[in-house]
Amino acid sequence: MRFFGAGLAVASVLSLSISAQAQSDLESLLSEPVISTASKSAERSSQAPGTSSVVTAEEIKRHGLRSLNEVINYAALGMITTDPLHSVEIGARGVLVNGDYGNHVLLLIDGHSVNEPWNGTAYFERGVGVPLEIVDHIEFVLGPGSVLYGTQAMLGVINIVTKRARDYSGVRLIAEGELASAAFSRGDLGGGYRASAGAGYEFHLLGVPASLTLQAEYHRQDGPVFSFGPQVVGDDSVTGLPKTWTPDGPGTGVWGGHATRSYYAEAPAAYARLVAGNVRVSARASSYKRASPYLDALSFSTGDFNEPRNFETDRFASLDVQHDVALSAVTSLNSRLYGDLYDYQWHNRSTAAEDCLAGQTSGCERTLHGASQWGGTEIQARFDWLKTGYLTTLVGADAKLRRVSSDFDIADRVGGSTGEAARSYTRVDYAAAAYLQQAARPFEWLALNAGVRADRDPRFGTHFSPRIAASTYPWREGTVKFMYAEAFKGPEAYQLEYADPGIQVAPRSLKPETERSLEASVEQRFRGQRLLFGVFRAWWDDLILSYALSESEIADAVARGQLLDGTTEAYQNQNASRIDNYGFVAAFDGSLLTRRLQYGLNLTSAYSRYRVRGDVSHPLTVTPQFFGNARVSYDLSGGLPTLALAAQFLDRRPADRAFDGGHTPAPFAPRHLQLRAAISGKMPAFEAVSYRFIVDYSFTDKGPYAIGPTAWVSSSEAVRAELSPVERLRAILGLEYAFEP
Amino acid sequence: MTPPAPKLGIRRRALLSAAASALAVLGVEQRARAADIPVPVGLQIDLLAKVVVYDRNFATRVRDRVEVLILTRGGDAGSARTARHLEAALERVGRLGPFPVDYITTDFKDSASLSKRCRERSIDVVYLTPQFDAELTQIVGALTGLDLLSVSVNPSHVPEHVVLGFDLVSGKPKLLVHLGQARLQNVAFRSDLLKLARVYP
Repeated sequence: MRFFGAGLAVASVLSLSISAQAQSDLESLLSEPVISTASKSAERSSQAPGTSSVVTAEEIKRHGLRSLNEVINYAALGMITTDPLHSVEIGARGVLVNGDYGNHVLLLIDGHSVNEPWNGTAYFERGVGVPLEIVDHIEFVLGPGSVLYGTQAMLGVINIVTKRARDYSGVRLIAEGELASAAFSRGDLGGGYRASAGAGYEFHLLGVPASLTLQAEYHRQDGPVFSFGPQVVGDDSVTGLPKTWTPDGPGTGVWGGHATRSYYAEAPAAYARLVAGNVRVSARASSYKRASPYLDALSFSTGDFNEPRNFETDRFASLDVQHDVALSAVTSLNSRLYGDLYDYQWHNRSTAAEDCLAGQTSGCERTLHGASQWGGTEIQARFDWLKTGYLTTLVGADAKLRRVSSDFDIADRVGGSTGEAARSYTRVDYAAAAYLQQAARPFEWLALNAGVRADRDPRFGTHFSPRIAASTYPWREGTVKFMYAEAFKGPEAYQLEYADPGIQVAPRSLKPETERSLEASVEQRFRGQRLLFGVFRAWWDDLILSYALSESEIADAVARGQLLDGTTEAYQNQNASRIDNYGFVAAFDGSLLTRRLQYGLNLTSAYSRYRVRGDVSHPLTVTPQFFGNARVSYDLSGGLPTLALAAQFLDRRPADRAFDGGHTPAPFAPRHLQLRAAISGKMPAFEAVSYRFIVDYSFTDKGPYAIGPTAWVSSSEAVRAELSPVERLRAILGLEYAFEP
Repeated sequence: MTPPAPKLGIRRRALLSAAASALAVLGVEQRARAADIPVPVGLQIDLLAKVVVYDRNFATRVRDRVEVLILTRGGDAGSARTARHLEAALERVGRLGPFPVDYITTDFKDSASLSKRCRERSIDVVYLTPQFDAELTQIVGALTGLDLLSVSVNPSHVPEHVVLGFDLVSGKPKLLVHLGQARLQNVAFRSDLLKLARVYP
């Protein structure tokens, strides 16, 4: 009897231990994302080439994340955005190219590239034009991605994947209100609101199962009120009178004050996706209007202070139709037709004569208009040679036609007549590419992936982007990866064509910017947790910047009629800079208590040096070399809310004009810590309505941008830079009504 | 449940028939839809190998080897390819739970044949490849009352009474379980598994 009892006890212990291991294995499998961006096919993230991370709809909802830049800052690995208060800048792994308008990151929505062909611009905040409630998850692939995607995919590729109707069924109505404070002082409050409606529906279309998901929203934000200056500039060099930044009254030669009317944004957007059998159709339309409250070196280097008519607007519209079919047990085919429209307007009013053309003594209004239309087709064939997924070849081709046009006008503010406007241009051309990817799994513990893409473009000729990657699985739930990849960004139409006879000469030609990258990583999964550590080394060459011309180059340009007589300072876009960069990324994330408790920590540390031709190298500006985020959330369940806390931290970093602005001392943005607290749940006794209350708080008040007319100084006197302000506090209350049949 | 088709006049039916034929040329019909298999097949088998031990009746159902029947749709390239992937994945894992696995692949003919085959071969798991939307009711009818686990690569089959499926929600795999059908097929999943799954009653 004693032995039988002992035997039972041993059996119980053994079955418990088996159960614990089985539980751990199952939780690990269920917690690992399946991504499709890295190699254009669905695969476990541990098997995908390179370093990737995924932020889910659940995490977006728990933390009250309302835009892509908030997702990046609070939850993504290795990427970061900074906000100069007009449109955010984006960087990754310690590299951020100041003033690039996001054209070193490829942004996809359901696989459709949204970077426009005039300046390669994509937006990473409200300007994305996709309401976040319709987002299923967002895939972030760090590093070069040109092997499959071509230009722009240098810092990384972001793919926003939207929900299917079965995950978004019914009708949803959302209303949000928000208040914001710039500096906790009286009169600086701002606010905003958002209204949104969405629906998901499964049905049959001509006898074929179909689903439709769609959402539209309108967001408006005004303020908060930031205070600037005073910055003493002195007299207008044309009139000899104190310089003015307002049409109301005489100038004082001093810039600054309270920006009560010139910080706002307006962003209507709509997105829809229809899936019917083998066909998928997606459509997007959005507009993004915003005004910045200060002058900076990028968007508004001239312009009246507190002028609400100084603003930018971007409008996007796109349509994408895809068709998938399996032709045989070995071959499947994906074909795609797409078309996009884009329009940009920039308006800038200046009362100061010295900021305008000769003769415009009452001031001027600058208007820049850019537009592009493009459309094309992409065809992809996948060959599964062994019919097992262990030896596959992907072959693809993409061809598109593009039309880009732009005009720039400087009209007299009073008379309305146009002075010598900068050159207008229209450019119609094509871009074509072919790519090949071979994936193989010769052993259970080894997966190989090699590929190359050839891009042909009249802007730069032909360029090849290779990649080779290996993933090994040497121990239980462990992955070790190695990858070498190259990426490029072709010169943009804006960089090739923009000319201003007063200051800018168009280049004869430009080479593509290039990146070469080596990386290695180790990942370990256990009981639904993930630990990752990766190292990288990257070389960036032939980066394009607006390079100051020498006296003789200016004289030659004047002789050719490209510059006005008497021009003493001029620039030209040239391949004139490079970046050397290395560092590491680390991540830990997971969940406990049947996923009621979720948490994550991401860290990036990098060493990046920037060198302009003929100059000494210096650290990259704007982007921190050490940054990260952390988040934790807990679902109290049982009708109680979900509590969430997230944080973003950035190390001290040089401001954009730290090394060329002429300031004393060189401006640096302080260390930055931002906290986000959110509480969300269903309304008691009325479960169709859910709420969320979010508070964002910044411990710092200065960002990494030198602002105002003293953003650049040439005076021999020591001038301290004024840095861009950071919004200190924002509180949002949102309600959602969901009607699900 | 899918909504019933509306009644139409003769002329409209003819027009729609022509449109459906045109769409059929484009492959907008029941042919190998990538969207039907959101979770890669290899990962589905890895998950299945872990999930089966949560079935309290699994050990008593299986004698010494797990017998898996992979059900294909005759003449369908996508179905055939998925079957090859399932076979390769089963070869790779070698075991479902603690038991070694054997498999056979067969085309679906009718419910009576399927039911007979499952009984004769003492099948423990029936794995459906995609494109069975039209035949699903017959398949479910054939398997009801048998002592086996039915699984489909297509998650939309689970609400239609396949016991187990795998979907992708927010980019991560999600188990789907039809509890009512599980009872009819003598499958009894433990509550700790059901907490991880989306359950259809």
